[in-house]
Amino acid sequence: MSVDENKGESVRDIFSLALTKLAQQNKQAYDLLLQKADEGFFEQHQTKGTIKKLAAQLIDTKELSEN
Amino acid sequence: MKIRSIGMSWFRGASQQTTLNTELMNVVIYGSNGSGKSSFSDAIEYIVAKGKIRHLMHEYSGSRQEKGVINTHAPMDTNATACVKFEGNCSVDVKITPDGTPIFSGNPEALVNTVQTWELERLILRQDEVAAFVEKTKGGKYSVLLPLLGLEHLEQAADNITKLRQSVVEEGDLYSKKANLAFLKQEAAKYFADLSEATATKALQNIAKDYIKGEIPAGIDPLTKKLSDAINSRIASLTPEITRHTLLLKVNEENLSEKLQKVAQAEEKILGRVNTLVDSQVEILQQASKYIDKLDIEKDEIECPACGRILRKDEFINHVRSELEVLKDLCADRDIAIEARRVLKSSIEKVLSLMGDNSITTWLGLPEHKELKEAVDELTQIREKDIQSPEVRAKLGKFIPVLAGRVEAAVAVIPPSNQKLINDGKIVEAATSIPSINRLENETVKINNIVQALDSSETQIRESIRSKTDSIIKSISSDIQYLWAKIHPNEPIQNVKLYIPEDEDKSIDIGLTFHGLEQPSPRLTLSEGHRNSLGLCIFLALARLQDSKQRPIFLDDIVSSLDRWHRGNITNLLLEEMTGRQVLLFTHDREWFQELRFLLPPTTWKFLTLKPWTSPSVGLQWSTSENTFDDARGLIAENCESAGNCVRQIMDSSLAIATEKLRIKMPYARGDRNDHRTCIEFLESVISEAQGRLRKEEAGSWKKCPEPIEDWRNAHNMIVSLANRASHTGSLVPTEVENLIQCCEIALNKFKCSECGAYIWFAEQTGREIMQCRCGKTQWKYG
Repeated sequence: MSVDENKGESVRDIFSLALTKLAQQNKQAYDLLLQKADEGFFEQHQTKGTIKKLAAQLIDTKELSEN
Repeated sequence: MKIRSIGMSWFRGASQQTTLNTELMNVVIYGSNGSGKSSFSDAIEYIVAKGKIRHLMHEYSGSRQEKGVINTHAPMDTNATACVKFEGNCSVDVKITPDGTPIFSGNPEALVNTVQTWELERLILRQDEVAAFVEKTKGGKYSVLLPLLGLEHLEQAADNITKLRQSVVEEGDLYSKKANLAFLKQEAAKYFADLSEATATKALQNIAKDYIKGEIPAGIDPLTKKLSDAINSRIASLTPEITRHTLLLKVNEENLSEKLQKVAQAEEKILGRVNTLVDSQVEILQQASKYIDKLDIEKDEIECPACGRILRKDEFINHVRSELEVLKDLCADRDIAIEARRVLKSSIEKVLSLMGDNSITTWLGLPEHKELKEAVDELTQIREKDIQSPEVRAKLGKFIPVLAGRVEAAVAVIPPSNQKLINDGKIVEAATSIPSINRLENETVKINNIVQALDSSETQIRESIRSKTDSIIKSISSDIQYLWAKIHPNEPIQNVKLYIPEDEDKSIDIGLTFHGLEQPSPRLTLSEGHRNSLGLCIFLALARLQDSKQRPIFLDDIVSSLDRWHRGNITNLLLEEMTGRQVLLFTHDREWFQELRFLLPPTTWKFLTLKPWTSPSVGLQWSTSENTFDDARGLIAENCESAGNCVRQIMDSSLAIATEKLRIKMPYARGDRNDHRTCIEFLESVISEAQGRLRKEEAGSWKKCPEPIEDWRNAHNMIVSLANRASHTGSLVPTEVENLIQCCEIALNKFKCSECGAYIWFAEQTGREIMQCRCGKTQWKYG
């Protein structure tokens, strides 16, 4: 595994594996996290405010059982 | 990407334009302490780190480090500059305005961004940073290595996810909700074991009968609300109601109706004027009784004084006694009637007193108690009157039943106790929490699911970082071990490696085997020198990582704590392991500089010397010679003896290496033994050996070279006479030192070909035991 290969590792790839359970429970939250991963949100430094905003968005989502 | 030159003006120690020309070669720059050699490392760092130099990061250097970066004596309104030129006519420039603002430009422009992606940790290694990595904590090592391993973006993601997880927990109030949910469940479970709405609704409907008149709502929400309101209202009025009920109970217990009836019955027995009659009869009979006692017992018939009947004497006696008994009964009935009236009156007094309490008078004011109030009012009016009066009796007979009946009805409705209200309230409250429990349950499950998903993501990212780090540090470790073995061959410190401590994220440490025992940290057993060379190995291993192989490296005074033997090994390491990589090596170690100058091939290595730095306005100055005699010249004005000793030291170290290179039979043996040899001994050997070994080609034939031998002899003689005096008697004058320097400088230059300028040992003719200069016109036969 080289340094260059490491730099190519994507958070989205990890998310798509780690969040399969969430996808079944709360599709809205799953989609939101993947969208943010696509935007490169997680790889960059984020302020407390932006993190808080995303947290609020996640809390506002509805689980599939609630729909 | 080799550096062609580093130029600067009014930057750090530089004044007017100063340029380090590398000619795309490796360079060794010698300069005594304070000569300004680190200014070149600072220039590259300033450009790469976008206008910052790590060792200037302190409160005194100004917000833009302008107080440290710009020469203190820079002319007003003059910009400091630094420029790094690379191969292929590329360059990066920085202009620093007097307030410290850096303005970068590149040719091409994009080169600035490229250079600014370089990591300083594998570009520059300075003296004070050599062991810094080794001495960092596990977390510190991890932080330094992470970007070098290409994993910084994943670490950033893991950190962001950790923060996001915390934020979800805080914003979602998860812990508070969980605690609240647990409490509500615990409380509700006391009343509704299955916590279902159906069970709770059924229980509420049972309770509702005691509190709600009319229709009982069906749903749990309206039912709990109505019940809660009713119970709260009852609780609010609880004290007056209970007081009133207690008083009315007492009124009821007075049982006025019964007492009135007793009076009536007694009265019936003694109707009319019976009282008078009875009294009169009693008196007569009592007189009659006395009369009997005085009677002549012989008379048989007697007229009764009470009733006038003629009776026989014995009959009369019985008669009187019988009448007396009758009257006594009547008197008893009369007394009962009197007592009944008294009791009734007393009871009425008591009832009226009880009914006068505020808790009852307010209650009596309600419209539904109008009749009772009238009855009470009537009784109040007649309380002072004679109960025997027919009118009073009539009123009593009318109102007492009303009062008694109403009071009896009132006390039949028993007010609930506090405990019951509280219990019912708790049931309603528990029922109220059933929908809340469901809502809270859903919310906490949702937040928990998000938190667990984020946890799982973070764990996977950390595992990914760990496995990738593990893989790459294994590869670095093998390189570190290799480099370490080069510097420390056959030493009992082996298996030097980076490793990730078990069960610890964000940490990397260095392990090694010390005399066969595994050590978790080099700080346990390694000396300062060993830690420094370990730091150098790690730096070089990192610098040799794939994506930085084309970049130059700056080694700034890295051997100051190493002994001669290990310094020699580092020289070999630079020679053998850094091929193709441009190295800019700065040192203040004159001896090592001399050693490098003789040992490193002039085809790929260039040697430069800085003059001692004198003032900000003079700035950095290059020495015109490759050797270090300018150090000695700098000392003349100050102390001639020191200058003389300096010359001697230069000659000691230079000649030790020269004799070794020329394979003269006084081999340069590494270690302390060399330290005991002097340049005098070396020169004597050189002079002796050169007679038969040194030759020069002239017009196609090989001839002996007396000229260098003569110069070496002169140097030998000067050292014997002057340098020894400097060491022992201390009586040199400036001209003597200048002569000594000149003589020694000439002598050292005689190891170079007068035609091509390369050292005699520049190349070797394999199999012929001959070494020669670059042009081949000067040879040394060593076989």
